[in-house]
Amino acid sequence: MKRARILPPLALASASLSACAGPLSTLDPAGPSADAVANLWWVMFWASVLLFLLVGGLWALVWLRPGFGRSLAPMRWVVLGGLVMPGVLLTLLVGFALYIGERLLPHALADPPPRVSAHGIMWQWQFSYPDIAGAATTPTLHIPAGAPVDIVVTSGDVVHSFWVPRLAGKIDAIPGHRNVIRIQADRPGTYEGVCAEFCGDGHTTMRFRVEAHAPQDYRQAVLEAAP
Amino acid sequence: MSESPPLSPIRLHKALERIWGTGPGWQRLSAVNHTVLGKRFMLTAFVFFAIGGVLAMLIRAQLASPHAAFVGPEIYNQLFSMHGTLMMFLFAIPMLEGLAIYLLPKMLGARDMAFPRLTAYGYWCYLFGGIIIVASMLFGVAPNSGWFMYTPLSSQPYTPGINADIWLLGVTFVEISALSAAIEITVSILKLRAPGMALGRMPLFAWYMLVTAMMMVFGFPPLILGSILLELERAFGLPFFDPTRGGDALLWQHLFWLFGHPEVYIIFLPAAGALSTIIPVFAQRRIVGYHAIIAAIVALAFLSFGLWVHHMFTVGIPHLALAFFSAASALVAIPTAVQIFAWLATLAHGRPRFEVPMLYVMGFFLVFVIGGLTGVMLAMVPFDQQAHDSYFVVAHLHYVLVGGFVFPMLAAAYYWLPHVTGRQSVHRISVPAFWLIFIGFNLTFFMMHLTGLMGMPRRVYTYPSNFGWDWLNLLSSVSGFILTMGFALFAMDIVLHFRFGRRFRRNLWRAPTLDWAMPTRPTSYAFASLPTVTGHAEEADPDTLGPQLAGGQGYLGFVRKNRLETLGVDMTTGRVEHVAILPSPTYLPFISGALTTGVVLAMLFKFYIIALLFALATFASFLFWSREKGEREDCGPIAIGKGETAPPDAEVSGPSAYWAMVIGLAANGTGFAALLFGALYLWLVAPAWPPPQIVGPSLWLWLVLPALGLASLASRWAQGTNASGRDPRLQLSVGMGLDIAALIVLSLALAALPDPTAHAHMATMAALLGYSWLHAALGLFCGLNALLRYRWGYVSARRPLPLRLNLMWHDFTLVTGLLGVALILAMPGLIGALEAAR
Amino acid sequence: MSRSDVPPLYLLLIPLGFVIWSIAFVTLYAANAIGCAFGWDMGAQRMVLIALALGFLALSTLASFRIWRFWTGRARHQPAPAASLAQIGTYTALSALAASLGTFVPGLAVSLCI
Repeated sequence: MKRARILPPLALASASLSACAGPLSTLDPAGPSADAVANLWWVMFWASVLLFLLVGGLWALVWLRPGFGRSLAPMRWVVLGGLVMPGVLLTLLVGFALYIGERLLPHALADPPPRVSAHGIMWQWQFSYPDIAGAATTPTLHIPAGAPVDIVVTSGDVVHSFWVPRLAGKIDAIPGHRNVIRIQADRPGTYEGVCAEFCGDGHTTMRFRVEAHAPQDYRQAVLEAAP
Repeated sequence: MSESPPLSPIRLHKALERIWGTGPGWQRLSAVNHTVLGKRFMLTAFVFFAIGGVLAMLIRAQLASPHAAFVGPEIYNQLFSMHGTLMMFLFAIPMLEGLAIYLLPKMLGARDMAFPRLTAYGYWCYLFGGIIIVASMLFGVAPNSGWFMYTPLSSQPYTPGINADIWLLGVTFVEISALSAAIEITVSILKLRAPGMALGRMPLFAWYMLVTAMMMVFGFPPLILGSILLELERAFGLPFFDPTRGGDALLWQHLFWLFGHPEVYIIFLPAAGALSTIIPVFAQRRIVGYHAIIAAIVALAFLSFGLWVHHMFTVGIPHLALAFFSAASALVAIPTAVQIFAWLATLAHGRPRFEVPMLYVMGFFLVFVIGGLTGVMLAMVPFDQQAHDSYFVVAHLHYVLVGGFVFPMLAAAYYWLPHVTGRQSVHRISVPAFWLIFIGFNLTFFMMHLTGLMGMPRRVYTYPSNFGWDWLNLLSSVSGFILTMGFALFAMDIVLHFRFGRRFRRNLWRAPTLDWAMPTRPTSYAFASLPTVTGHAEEADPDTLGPQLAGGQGYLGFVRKNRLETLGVDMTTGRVEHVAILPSPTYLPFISGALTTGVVLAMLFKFYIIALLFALATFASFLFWSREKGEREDCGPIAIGKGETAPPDAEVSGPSAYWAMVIGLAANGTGFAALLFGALYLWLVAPAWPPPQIVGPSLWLWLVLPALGLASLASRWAQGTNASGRDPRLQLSVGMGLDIAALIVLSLALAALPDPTAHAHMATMAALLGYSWLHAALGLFCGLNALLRYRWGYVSARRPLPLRLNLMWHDFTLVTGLLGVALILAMPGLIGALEAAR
Repeated sequence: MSRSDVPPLYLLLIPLGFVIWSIAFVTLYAANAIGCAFGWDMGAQRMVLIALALGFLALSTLASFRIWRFWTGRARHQPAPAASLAQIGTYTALSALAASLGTFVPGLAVSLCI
C-alpha cells in the first residue's frame, strides 16, 4: 500500500480495517489526491479517538473518583481544556489541511494536463474530449493513467456533483458555472463515480464509470470509445 | 395611595387565578398564558418529532437491504425532505421556544412573557403551518427537493407541482412565528425580570436564550427573504435563481446557509443552557466560569455566522475564501470546548450526585463530543470535499443534533417534568429507556460514518449490493428500531408519570434558581408576589423564598382593577422601572392566526385576490388587538408593594413594545441587507450578465425619496404635536396621505421598470422597490393604528408610544428606501465597470 | 423617566469585538470576490487583503485594550452590572482578536482565485 511509506502506523491500522475497501471507498485511494485526503482522515481519526478517550475519561473520573480534579483550580480546567488544548491542536490541523488543499488545486502547470469535459444533465453524465479531435461524447469517462487530468465540470439543468471517491474529492456541477477538478489515477483500471448532489428522481442511478488507460493507449481508446 | 391589607395566601391565590387563569372548554382557545402555551409548544413539537421519527423509520426500512422495492424515488424524496423539514423547523425550533416560554418568566421572577398575545399568535401560526406541511404528505404532494431546497431543482421547471410551494410558504409561515418569538424572548429577558436582577446576576439559561434569540433575529431574515424570492420566481417568474436569465443557483445556497448554519447553534445553545442549569444542581456547586461561559456563547454566536460557506466547500469558491471559512469552522470548537470543560470542572469541584437527568447528560457528553470531533474533520476543506453529501455528513449531523439537542432535552424533560406536573416518577423506566436510546442511537449512526467514507451518497433511495454497504445499512436500520423503542418507552414513561407520579412538596432537586420558588404545578400567574434579587440569581433559596412569595411578601402581591401586572426593570441594572400591564385571555390571537392561515392557503393555491383580502382582514384583526389594551388616562406612579411605586408601562420611555420595535427593525434591516447582498452578488458572480436592458433613473424613482422623506417628516411632526399636549390627528392624517402618495409613486416607479421577468437585474431592482412599497403600506397601517389609539384615548403627551413607533417605522422606511434607490441608481455604473474589467 | 445608571448602550460592549471581526470577515471575503471578478493582479490583490487584515487586527487590538482598561478602571466604580458587562466584553474582544488571527492569517497564504 502506498500510504505505508508515509505513515506506517496509520497504514497498519487501516489495513486492519480491510472492510474499508470497495469500488467507491475513499479509504481505498487509487490516486494522489484521494490518497492525501485518506492520510488526513487517518490523522484526524486517531487524534479524535485520543480526544474522545480524554473527555470520556475525565467524565468517568469525576464520577468514579470524586474530588480527583480539585487540585486543578476551576478556571484552570477551562483555560487548559477549553482554550489551550483545542487552540494548539486546531492551529496545527488547519495549517496541515490548508497545505494539503493547496497542493490539490488545479494550478497552472508548465505542461498543462489534458482536459476532459464532464457535463451533468438529469440524469446522466456526458464526457467529451476537446483535446482530441474527432472524439465522440461518451457516457464513460476515459482518462490517461499515471498523470493528472483536469475535469471541467458543468451542468445543463440542476446542481449535480462529480465524484470519483477513489481518485479525488467531489466538485459540484452548477448551471452557468464552470468548475475544474484535477484527478489522477495511478494505474490503469476501472473506477466508479456517482452524482453526489441530490438532483431529483434519477439521482440514485446517475452513476458513471471511469476507465484509466495506459498513456500510450489513451488517444486510441477515446477515439474507439462507445458513444 | 393606600394599600389594602395583605390577603391570606389562599385568598391571594384565588384572586390572582381568577384573572390570570385560562377558562375550561372552548376558552382554552383564548389562552395567552406562558405556562399553558409553553406546554402546548413542547407537546406539539413532540408530536411532530414523532411524525418525523416515523418518516425516519420508513427511510431505514427502505435502505435496510439493497435493491429494496418498498418505496420508489418519488416517495423516498418526499420522505427524507419531510424528515429534515419536520425535525428542523417543526420540532427543534418550536421545542426550544416552548422551553424558553415556559421557563424564562419563572427563572427571571416575572409573571409572564412581555407579549402574551404574540406568544399565542405564534403558537397558532406554528400549529396551522405545521398542519399544512404535514397534511401535504397525505395528498402525496409533500416537499421533495430536500430540506435545503437547492435551486434550480426546487424551481418551477424542475418541480412544477405544489410541493416546493408548500415548503416555501409553510416554512416561512412557521419562521415568521419563530422570529416573533425571538423578539419576544429578547425583550422579556431584557425588561421583565425580578427587581434587583442586574444582567450580571441573571441565570445562565437566560443568557443562553438571549444570545439564541438574537441569533434568530439576525439568522432567520436571510432565509425568509430567500424563500420569498424563490416563491416570487416560482409564482411570477422573477428569475432570482435562474442562471439562464441572470440569476444564480448559488445565491440560494448563500441565503439558505447564512441561516442554516447559525440554525444549528440556535438549536444547540438553549440545550446547552439547560445543561448549564442542570449540571450545577447535581454537582451541588455553582457553575464554574460564569463570565467565561457568557463570552463563549457570544463568540459561538458570531463565529457560527462566519462559517456558512462550509456547507459549500464543493461549489467552486476560491481557496482563500474557503480557508477563512475553514478556519472559522474549526475555531467554533473552542468556545464549545470552553463550555464542556466548564461543566467538567463544575462536576470535578462539586459533590456530584447521580440522578436520572444526569444519565441523559452523560448521553449528551459522549454523543456530542463525537459530533464535535467529526465537525472539526468536516471543517477541513480537502476532507470535506470527500465526505460532503455522503453518509458521513448524515452521521455527523445526527451526532450533533441528537447529541446537542435531543439528549439535553431528554435530560431537561426528566429535570423539569416534576415542575410541570407536580409529581415525581416512581417507575424507573427512564433508565432502560436511556440505554435503548443511547445504544440504539450509536449503533444506528456510528458505523454510518464508515458508510459515508465508503462512498454512499446522501439521498439515494436504493443501492446495488456490490459497493460493500449492505451490512452497514442493515445494521443502521435494525438499530434504528431499537432507538425507536427507546423513544416509545420514554413516551410511555411520561404518560405514566402524569398518571401515577408521586406528589412532592417543593423544590424536588434542591435547585438554587427561582423557577422552583413557586408551587409546582405552577399556577397561571407563576409568582403570587415577585421576588427581590439581592445576590446572584443562581444562588437563590427557593425553599424559604417560595412560601414568602406565596404569602404576598414580595412585590405586587395583590390584585388591582383586575389587571394582569408584572414588573418591568431597567435593562442593565435590574432596578424597578415600570409596571407592565399584560393582556387578559383573548380569542384574538386565534382569529388572527386563522386569518393568516387563510393568506398562506390562498397563496398556495394561487388565489392572489383572496390572499390579499385575507391579509387585509389579518391586519384589521391586529387593530382589534390594539383596541383591547392600554391605559385611558395618565395615572403617574402606582404602588407596587413594599412601600415603593413605579409608573405604568405606557408612561415610561423604554417599555417592552419600544424595544420590540427596535429589535424587530434590526431583523427587518437584516432582511434588507440580505436583499442588497443578493442584488450585488448577482451582479458580481451570476452568469448571463450583463442584462439585455439596464434600469436607468426615471422621474418616479427620483420622486420616491421626497415622498418617503415627507411621510417621515409628518410622523415627526405628529409626535412633536402630541408631545406638546395638542391633538396630533391632523398631522397623522397628513402622514397617511403622504404614505399613500409614496405608494403611488412607488407603484409608478415599479411600472416604469422594464419587464422584471426578463432578467435578474430587473427582478432585483423590482424587489428593492417592492420592499419599499410594502414598508410604505405598513407605514400607513402604523399611522392608522396611532390615529385609532388616539381616538380610543390611549395616547397622551405622557403616553406617546404609538406615535413614537409610527415615527420609528417611517424613519426606517426612509433609510431603506434611500439605500434601495441609491443602489438602483448606482447599478448602471457598476455593470459598466465590471464589463470594462472583463 | 429617569436615566439608567448603566445605559443599555453598555450592552454593546459584549458584541463589540466580534462586530469588528464580522465586518473584517465580510470585507475580506468581498474584496477577494471582487478582486477575482475584476481580474486584479494577484500580487496586488494579496497586498490589498493583507493591508485590510492588518488594519482590522489593529482595530481589534485597540478595541480589546480600551474595553480592558474600562473594565479594570472606570467600570469598577459604577453600579452593577457595569463591571460584569465590561468583563464579558473584555473576554469577547480578546476572543475576537484571537479569532481574527486564527481566521485571517492562515487564509492569506493560500491561492487567491482557484
